[in-house]
Parts: sequence; C-alpha cells; structure tokens
Amino acid sequence: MSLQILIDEAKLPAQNNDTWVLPVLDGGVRREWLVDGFDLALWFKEAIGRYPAHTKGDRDTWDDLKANWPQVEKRFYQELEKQVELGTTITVDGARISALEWERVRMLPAEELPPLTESQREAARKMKISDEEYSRNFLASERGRTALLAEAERLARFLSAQLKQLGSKAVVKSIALSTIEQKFEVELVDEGTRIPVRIREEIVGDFFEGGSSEAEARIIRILETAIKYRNRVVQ
Amino acid sequence: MRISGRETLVSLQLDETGKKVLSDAGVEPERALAAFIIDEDERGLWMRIERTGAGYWLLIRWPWVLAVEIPAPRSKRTGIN
Repeated sequence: MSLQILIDEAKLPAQNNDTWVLPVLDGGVRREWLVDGFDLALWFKEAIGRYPAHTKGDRDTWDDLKANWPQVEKRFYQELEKQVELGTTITVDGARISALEWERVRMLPAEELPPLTESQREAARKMKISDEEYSRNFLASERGRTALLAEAERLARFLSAQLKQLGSKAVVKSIALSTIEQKFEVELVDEGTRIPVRIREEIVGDFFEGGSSEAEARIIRILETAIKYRNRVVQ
Repeated sequence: MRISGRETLVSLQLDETGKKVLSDAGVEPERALAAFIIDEDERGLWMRIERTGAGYWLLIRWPWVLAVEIPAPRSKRTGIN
C-alpha cells in the first residue's frame, strides 16, 4: 500500500466541528482523510507522551504536530492504513457513556487528562465546575464516542462481508449513527447508484452484544431488501 | 427522549425542595446545577454524587426538576474520501 500524508497541507477544523482534513496520496491519487481532533491529540500523546499544544487553538496544535511529525507519523500511518482498508466514512452524532467508563475516568490522575480549549473552559465556568471535572467529563464522553465508532466500524465490516455473500458489487460508502434517533444511516454505492439503508441501533446491539441469530438474520434481510429494491428501480 | 447516558454533564434547574434535598445530601447547591445523570425511570433522575471520597446515586424526583439543559451532541467523523 503506497500512502503519503501531506501534513503541510492539512485543513484545520471549521468553527462548527472538530474534524481535521489531512490530504493523502493513495497510490498517487489525492484523497482526503477525515481525522477527529480528539483522536489526533490522542495519537500525538501515544507517540510522544504528551498532548499537543492547544493554548491558542488548532493552529497551535498544527504547529506542534508539524514540528514533531517525524516522531508521530508512524502512529498516524497505522490509522490511515486501517481507514483505507475499511473504505467507509463513519460519523457518530452524540455520545453514550456507561457508569463503568465514568468510574475509569474518575480514577485517572489529573496529568492524564486532556487540556481544555478556551471554549471548554468557558463552558466549565458556565456550569460552575472545575476545569479538571469538565476535562474528566469530556474524556468520558470521547471514550463513549470512540466505543460507538468501533461498533459502527464492526457494522461496516459485517455489511461488506454480507454484500459479497449476496453477490453484490455494492460497497459500504458511509455509516452515520445518530444516538438521538438510535439508528444507523448506511449509504451503499453500487456502480455509482446510491442506496440508503436504515438499521435500528437496537437490532445491531442485539446482534453484536447479545449474539442474537435472529438479529443477524434481520440485518441481512434489511440489506437484501435494499439491494433487491434498487434492482427493481433500475429495471 | 431519554436524558441519561447521552452526555455526561447536564445542567439541572431544581425547585426549592430539590435544592434542599441536595443540600441535605451534602451536595453544594451551586454544584448541583451541573450533574452526571446516570439513569432515569418513572420516579425521576438518578444523579451521581460524591461524598467523603465515595460515590453514591441520588434520586431527584421529577416534580422537583424545573428544567434540564443538555449539551448539543458533538459529531465525531472519520474515514477517507
């Protein structure tokens, strides 16, 4: 796999989100890699033992990232290879956190907590809690989001495998989980034709967490119906 | 819409009875405005409190809750286009 991250051409997150866009060359073809700001900071910390600078905002982080790129790039390439192999864009809207995760975060030493941005400090002041308490809550939320992202990734892999078994050439282009609607919005693409599929989160949970063969069969039936319906439209 | 489990911190506006219950439970009233809601049922909201280094669950009954403010959900997006 020939991949190159063009770190000098990174696009910083827009004001209304925390998604970095890192241009990459995949076999010479230019593509855009979407990286969540929390993940970016976490990979940086895993590589060099501290969170990236963020005193003046994302530009600070970018400068720190570029200055330390030789030390951190290996960690980024590991993630990029995983994303290219998966081939699916995943969005998780909202978070869900267990009491167990909250306890884990509560036990962490203060120096392990992510530094807050100015807007987060402002939110902490508004809620009349300390920066440390806000940081613990932020970290717990992010871990909850990461767990949901992992579930969406697993769903993408399962659906891709089922599509192959069904003899379809469709690919899983994107999966978006809305924690409020409790639904996965899946977008399949078959030879340029977009096929939207909705799957209730409850069914996916019954399959992945409960091991329910009935839930597995229902997901496959939903997929089959979507593919068949699309075929009838084309005919 | 369920309140618990969506985000860790919510802001609660309680009536005077609710504030007194929290005060009696050893929770400073102004801190009670920001609460970690761990569960909810027909009786009310279960919030997590800490007292003398130990964690407890405290029930805030629905009639005492005047308003709940939940942070708008943040999106996390990954993948390659």
